[in-house]
Amino acid sequence: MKQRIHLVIMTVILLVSLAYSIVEIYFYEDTPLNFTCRSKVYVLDESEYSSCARKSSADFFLSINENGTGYMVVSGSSICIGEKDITTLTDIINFNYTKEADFYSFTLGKRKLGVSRISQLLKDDVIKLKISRVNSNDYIITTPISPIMMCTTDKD
Amino acid sequence: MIYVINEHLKYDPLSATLYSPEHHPDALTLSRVNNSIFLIFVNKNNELISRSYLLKEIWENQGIDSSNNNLNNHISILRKSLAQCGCDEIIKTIPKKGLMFSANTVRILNRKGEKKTVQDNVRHIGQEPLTPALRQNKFLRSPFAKLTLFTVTVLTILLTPFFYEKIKLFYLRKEILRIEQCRFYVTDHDTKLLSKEDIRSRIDVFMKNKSIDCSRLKANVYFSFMESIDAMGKDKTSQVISYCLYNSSAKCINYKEYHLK
Repeated sequence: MKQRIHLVIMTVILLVSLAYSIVEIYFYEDTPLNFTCRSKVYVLDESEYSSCARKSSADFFLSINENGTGYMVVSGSSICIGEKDITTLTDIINFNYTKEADFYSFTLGKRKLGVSRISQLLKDDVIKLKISRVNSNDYIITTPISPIMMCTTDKD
Repeated sequence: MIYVINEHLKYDPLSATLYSPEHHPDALTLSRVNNSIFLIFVNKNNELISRSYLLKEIWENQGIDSSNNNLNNHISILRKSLAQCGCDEIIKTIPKKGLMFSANTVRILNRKGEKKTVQDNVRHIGQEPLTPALRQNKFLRSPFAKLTLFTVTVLTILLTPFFYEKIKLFYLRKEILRIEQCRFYVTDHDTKLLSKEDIRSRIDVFMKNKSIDCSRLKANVYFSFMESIDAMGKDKTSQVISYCLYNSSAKCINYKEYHLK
């Protein structure tokens, strides 16, 4: 009888741990549906043919809601090297998104003039981004062409 | 049936094994000939057996020639096996007469489904079901071993999601070098194609220019590099280096550079 009780307890523990593992793996998210992340980006762009070799510094905050909407806050400044005029702005850009396989397709809302000087990516109305978790706090954001930045979520 | 000799040595003629957990952790397997000899001995406990009888029973009845030397070799091996099971001197040599197996007790245990048999010179005592697999390994029979096996199984199951994440990470990023407390990774396939020396030299330049200090804090640094030729035929390079403090909510700092060669 005692042995039977032990056997039942062991079976229950085994089943519980098995269920836990299955749930953990099933709900493991590469690309989260609901999250926020922040990053700092410094850009030095000397690849344009125009006279402006651009330098910028900006903070990004990205918030994605499960309901297909979200927003990003961009705050920073940009300058053409050798010039005195500095562009400083803070903008909140609302967007809608759909999920297309591994990528999000973001349709950006209204943006302030000059925000594309801080981030070239923001000059397009539709952008495709993939967000992948690399460890508990950090995510890598890539376009279909190349990685663009790493960002950090707040700790759970 | 299974024989229990001197209340501690279990002998199974079917699997030709001797098992005495008090003396030897594993079951000892006898050769075919030794198994036949030992079965004769066990069935003739405390009886004098002549060498000629053994030679006839083991070999001659099967049309095989043999010799006393051969028999002596087998008896010697059998004695060694029995000694390992705590039965020294159980086979005695009676000079000029033969051999005698002299055990204090020999019990017969019937397997499940086996009919009880009573044999001459053998005291039949009772039934005790035995599982051969368990009999062969003392360690596996102990409660400690069972508990250990169970704990290991549960831990393995519980750690599976952790390993799953590690494997996914392994495919997502590739560590290329470590400098003090910083670990440098590449994530995209184009950068993975660059040589380690090339990546190293670019990282060295970056570390120097940006005064990155890897001695104080643990950090993961992600490196990406792309080269392309535009429509004018000019080489363009783009480089992204992201510095993320390890296990911290402090935001990652990204350094992006685009150049015309």
